[in-house]
Amino acid sequence: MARTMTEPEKNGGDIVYGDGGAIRSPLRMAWRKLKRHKLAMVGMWVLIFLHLFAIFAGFFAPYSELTTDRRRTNHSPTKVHFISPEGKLTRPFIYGHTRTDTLRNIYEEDTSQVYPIRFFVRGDKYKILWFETDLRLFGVDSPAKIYLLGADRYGRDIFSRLAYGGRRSLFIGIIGLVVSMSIGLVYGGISGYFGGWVDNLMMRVAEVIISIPSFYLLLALSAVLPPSLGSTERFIMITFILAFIGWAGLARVIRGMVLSIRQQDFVTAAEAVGCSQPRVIIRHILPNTMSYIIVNATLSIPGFILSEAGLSLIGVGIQHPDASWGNMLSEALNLTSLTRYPWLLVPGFVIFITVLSYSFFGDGIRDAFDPRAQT
Amino acid sequence: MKRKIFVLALLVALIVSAGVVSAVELKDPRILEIESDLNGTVGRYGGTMTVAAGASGPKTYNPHRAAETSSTDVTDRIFEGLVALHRDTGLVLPKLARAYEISEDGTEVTFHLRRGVQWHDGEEFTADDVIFTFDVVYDVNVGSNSRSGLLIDGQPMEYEKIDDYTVKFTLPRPHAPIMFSIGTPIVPEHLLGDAFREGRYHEMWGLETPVEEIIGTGAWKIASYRIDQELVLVRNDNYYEFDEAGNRLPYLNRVIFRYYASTDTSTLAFFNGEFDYIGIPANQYPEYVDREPISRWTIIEAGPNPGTTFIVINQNPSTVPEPKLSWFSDVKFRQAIAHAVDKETILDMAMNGKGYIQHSPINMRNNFFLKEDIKTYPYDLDEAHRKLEAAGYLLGADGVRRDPQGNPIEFDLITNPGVPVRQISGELFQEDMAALGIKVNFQLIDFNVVVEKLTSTFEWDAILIGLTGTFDPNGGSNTWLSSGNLHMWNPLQESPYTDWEAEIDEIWRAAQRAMDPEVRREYYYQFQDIVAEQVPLFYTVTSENMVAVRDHLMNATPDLVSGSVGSAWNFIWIDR
Repeated sequence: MARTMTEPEKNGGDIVYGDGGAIRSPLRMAWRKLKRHKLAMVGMWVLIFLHLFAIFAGFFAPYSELTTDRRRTNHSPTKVHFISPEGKLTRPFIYGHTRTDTLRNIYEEDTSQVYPIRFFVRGDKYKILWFETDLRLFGVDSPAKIYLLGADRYGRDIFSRLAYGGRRSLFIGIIGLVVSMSIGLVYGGISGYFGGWVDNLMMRVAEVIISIPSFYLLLALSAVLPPSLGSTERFIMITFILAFIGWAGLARVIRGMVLSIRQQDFVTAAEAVGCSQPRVIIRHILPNTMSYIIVNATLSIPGFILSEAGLSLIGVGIQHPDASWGNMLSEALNLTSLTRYPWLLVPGFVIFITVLSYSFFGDGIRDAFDPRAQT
Repeated sequence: MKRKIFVLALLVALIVSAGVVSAVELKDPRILEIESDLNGTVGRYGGTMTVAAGASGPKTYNPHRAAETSSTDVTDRIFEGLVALHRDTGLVLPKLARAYEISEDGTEVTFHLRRGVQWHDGEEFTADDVIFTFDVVYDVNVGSNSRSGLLIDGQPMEYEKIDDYTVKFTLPRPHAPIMFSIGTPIVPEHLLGDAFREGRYHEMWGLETPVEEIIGTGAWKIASYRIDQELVLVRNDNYYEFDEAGNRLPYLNRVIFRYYASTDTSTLAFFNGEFDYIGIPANQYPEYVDREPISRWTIIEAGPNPGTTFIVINQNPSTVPEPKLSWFSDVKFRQAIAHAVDKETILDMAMNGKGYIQHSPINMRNNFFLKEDIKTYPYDLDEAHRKLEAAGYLLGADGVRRDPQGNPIEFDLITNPGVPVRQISGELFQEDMAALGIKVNFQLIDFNVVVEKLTSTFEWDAILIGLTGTFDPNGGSNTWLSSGNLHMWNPLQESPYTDWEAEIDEIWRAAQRAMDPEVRREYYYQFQDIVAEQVPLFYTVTSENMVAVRDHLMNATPDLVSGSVGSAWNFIWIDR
């Protein structure tokens, strides 16, 4: 359909001229294409939801990640009822539970105890940014406990731990990515720009790092972390270890792109007007690799998330009692848990959803930025 | 009733071993009374039994080089000692010896060997093999595991051949527990003698040796071994024992060891019918108990596991820095935090409640020596808090507990991964200590690293680990004597560092000399009281020993000494 000047608002206020083709910035065009990609949008919304859930873990989770209950080991997920015993629709409530079989950890509802689910309650204290608060989205009166997704061996709420664990598991990917991207960009940029023996030397170093089997290197590096390391320091160290493994592959691709970009006229022009070498690299060359980097970034975050999960699963990543999706999953690593307490597998399911969402989203981004995919 | 017999039998055992003019001789040494000894039945020949073993197979076939159970599980089938322990009573029974006598003063033990026992290659077993074996065991370069148990005050025994079928041992002093260690596996002089004299004994009979060259006197021979996958034993057709109906033992033709990487895989393999009996890991008990009614196997509960699990705190003055050393060596500090071990919850979480709470270092199966009414430290954080406050370790307003000098209390606790009870105990302890204002950094470290810290570098704060139990208390010598290499909190002392350690040393040596088992028990009672007072170790729990045995396997009952089916192998038969 040909567009005309008469209805500019229909295409978002872009300047329209002549035959009706709009001038749009590349980012805007990409966004338009991305919006048409259904799976990518689904992925994006899932990711936004998950990240908000993790950032505001203290608010969404009814308990802190460390709250244990030794008398409620491997508690099954609590059923939320909406229909009162008299058969009327009421506000959601749960029943109290008693452990009827200590050998198999079977908990049965005790219909004589009714606990309505309360919203915006005061619970365990937590910190959000710089504020300390105890406002939580929902909760029940003690002594009852609400376990939306069941409890682990120590009676900790899996739903709450998923939220707190997400802080580590999700953001380890993003922070790790930022670190490895920065190293990779600068390293690849320098190597590609200067070429010659500098390039040769730098690329050989990168190849050495690539050629080390990465998971073993990860294992070795995490095993040397001292036990007295606090949980924050440990998180940072593991992030840097992951980033240290990840940058070399990226650096090599960047270097290839830079090699071809620096032959182009605008680079020569920039050099001719006397721009310094760092300025040429940073202002003129690297921005031209941006579309590749954005695509690469979304597609490589799942790798970081999976590596962290793998490390924590085998016990060298995030340490108990701090939650991460990987170390939560390690509780499900035995026969009894798999057959009797299947809710321990929920973190694995969430990892799966996250990785899949990143892949869909990354796929959409790649199509959106690919000039050849233009119709 | 059974317990009473057990205690009586044990008394007999101790009298025998303690040397009150005695001689033990079997009526007819070749006949084993299955009905009375095993509560079993005379069997039929034939068939193959398959058993599950751990993740890895033997590292050597040489019984005096074998240091880990994966090796001794195999070598114990091929080689035998002069004596063995009765499976249900712990009584010292003649094995390769037909009979033995202990002199009145308890310093001379004379063994009369069985005649006509053949090595697997047909050579006759004689006193030369016994003399040779003890030469090997006492040689430091061989590094036999039996050596330390056979030293008395660091001195070897003297031993001489009287004739081809008689050997006499002379002890430097009476030593009641010697009979529990003298049954070290006898090895053939005619095959290994030259190598030993050339100083090559430790190279002999490793895994590279063809299996048909491994020659013992036992009921089984190795037929084949695929490393860490499968080991096949075949019947020794010339074994010297008979059942009461006159049938030569054993009944089975073959026994196959299969190695499984994890207890999960072996459990699933057992459910699939891949092997015939399995020791049930306590944390998987629900799987078994739910399947039992619909399966052709039966669960047998066989009492507490002989092993121990505990937290030990390092008091080594040469490796623990101040101020940690002052906390750890303060008995009030140890007594207080001993209340912070939640044994009930550990039992519930790690073992589904199938186990026992431990208070004493004595093997829980050995009721004769186990003292019931000792001081215990029930889980009580309030009590722990009161005791810490009383001892000057005050909880600050910031939730951090400090010692009298104002240092915040914090230490590391390590254990090895892969053992659920250790991980659970550690995490609960960490949480409880945090509630007391003490920061414990709990970390899982590879088992070999933990052992290295424990036995050679000595640089650690607290370790959560276990020891396998021996039936006789004296098996704990390397742990409880201050000179012991497993005296974990301050090992290899030249002279006792503290008064209570000196006291234990004295009691322990007196117990070794004691002839009368009642007297010996008094000493071990005193010992248990001192340990309970000083709490160098915080004991946790031990699991119930449970075995699932297929219904076609006859006579496969767990013994009373260790709770394992292994000791019944020679009598097991298959009823199809």
